[in-house]
Amino acid sequence: MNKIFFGVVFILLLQSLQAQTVRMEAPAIESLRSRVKKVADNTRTLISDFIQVKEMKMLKENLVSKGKFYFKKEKSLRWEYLTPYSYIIMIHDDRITIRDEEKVNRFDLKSNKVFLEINRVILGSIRGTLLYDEVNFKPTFYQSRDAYRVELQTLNPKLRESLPGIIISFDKSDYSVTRVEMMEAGNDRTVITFSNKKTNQPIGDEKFDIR
Amino acid sequence: MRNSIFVNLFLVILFGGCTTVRPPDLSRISGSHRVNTSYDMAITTTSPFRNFNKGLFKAAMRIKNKDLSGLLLIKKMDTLYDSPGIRAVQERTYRIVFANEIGLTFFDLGVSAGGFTVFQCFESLNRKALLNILKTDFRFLLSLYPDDPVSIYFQEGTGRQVIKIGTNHSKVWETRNQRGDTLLVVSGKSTVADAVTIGYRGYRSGVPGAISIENPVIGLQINLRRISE
Repeated sequence: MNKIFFGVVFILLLQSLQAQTVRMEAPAIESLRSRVKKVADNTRTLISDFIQVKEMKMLKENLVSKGKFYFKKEKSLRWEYLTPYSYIIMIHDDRITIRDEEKVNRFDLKSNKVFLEINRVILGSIRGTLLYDEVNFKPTFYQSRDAYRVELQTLNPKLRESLPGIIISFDKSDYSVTRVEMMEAGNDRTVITFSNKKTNQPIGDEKFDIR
Repeated sequence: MRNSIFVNLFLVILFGGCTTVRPPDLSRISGSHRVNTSYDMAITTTSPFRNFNKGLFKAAMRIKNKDLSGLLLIKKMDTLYDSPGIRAVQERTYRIVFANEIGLTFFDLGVSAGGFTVFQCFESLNRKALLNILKTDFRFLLSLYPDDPVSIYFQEGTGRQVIKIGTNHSKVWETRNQRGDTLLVVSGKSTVADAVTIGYRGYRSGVPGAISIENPVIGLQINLRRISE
């Protein structure tokens, strides 16, 4: 009986040690950076499902949204929410198009500084390119058995007020982004988890245009 | 520059002062006293937010031709102040969180009849004048004012009941359907700048499915569509 008990404890302990994250050293960091850059350079298109959970600790509430994400090099993006309501954000040629139910709004990305900044951060997070933005973010690198985890502390004072930090997780097998956590003031956070990722599949330009 | 500010301020006060929140075509039914017990029952049963606990709304906010959209969560809290070290206040209190579709919080407010706390606010929205208007809007939206009527009116043409409620700091008008059992519009103001008209439509399970909040003086408009309990 005791042997079984200690055996189970040992296995659990081993699993816990394997799941632990450890801080990465300089050579490993450089290797990760170059691998992530290579993946970003080679990714012409990306299609993925996503689940977005906004966790509000004080309110003990989670807001859950699900949808589909499309990216096409260089800067075309379609962020399509399917539940709990239909909503599409599209960015193409520095123009933003938003379809909220049947209502369509278009505006110039450069005319909306807040949106421009959020778009840069989101796109940079998903592609992993935010790792190189050391003007606006201070990165700290960790790894576990299955994933690399990069914690980005926001340096830009204006951005820091609404977004003090971002945590990006990369799959160790293919260096793609699996999860983005946006940390907010007051310990709230939004976690976006990507699944069913497909890279370099053709996406027609009509995906980034709503008539 | 100084003249231009003065002129703008003058215009806001002039037009703000002129903004009427009193519904038109009213004939008084009763004076400044409680009417009867059945009326008191109506007060507690027809204000949809008096017993409201939680709701998630699709929200669109337009202020000075800038559009913000996302989700707005309204949740009843035990106290206004949950933070340690701050005096807990036992009164009907709500947290209101408005976040964009990506999840970033535009504002996170705590509102009660006597209290108002800004837990978090996007830098571009963090203006005292705007927050004061949001405070009034959400107090009126959630019926965070006394339920003692001052006067009851009949609206010519529509046949609706209109109830005037005077509070210490503001005047509130509740417009109800002909039977008096469904709240349709709340209008009111506490200062010249925060006049507001709130429309309630599409009731489901006693809570409105669609709400429109209009602040004509500063050109603020908020539309809410309920998407879950």
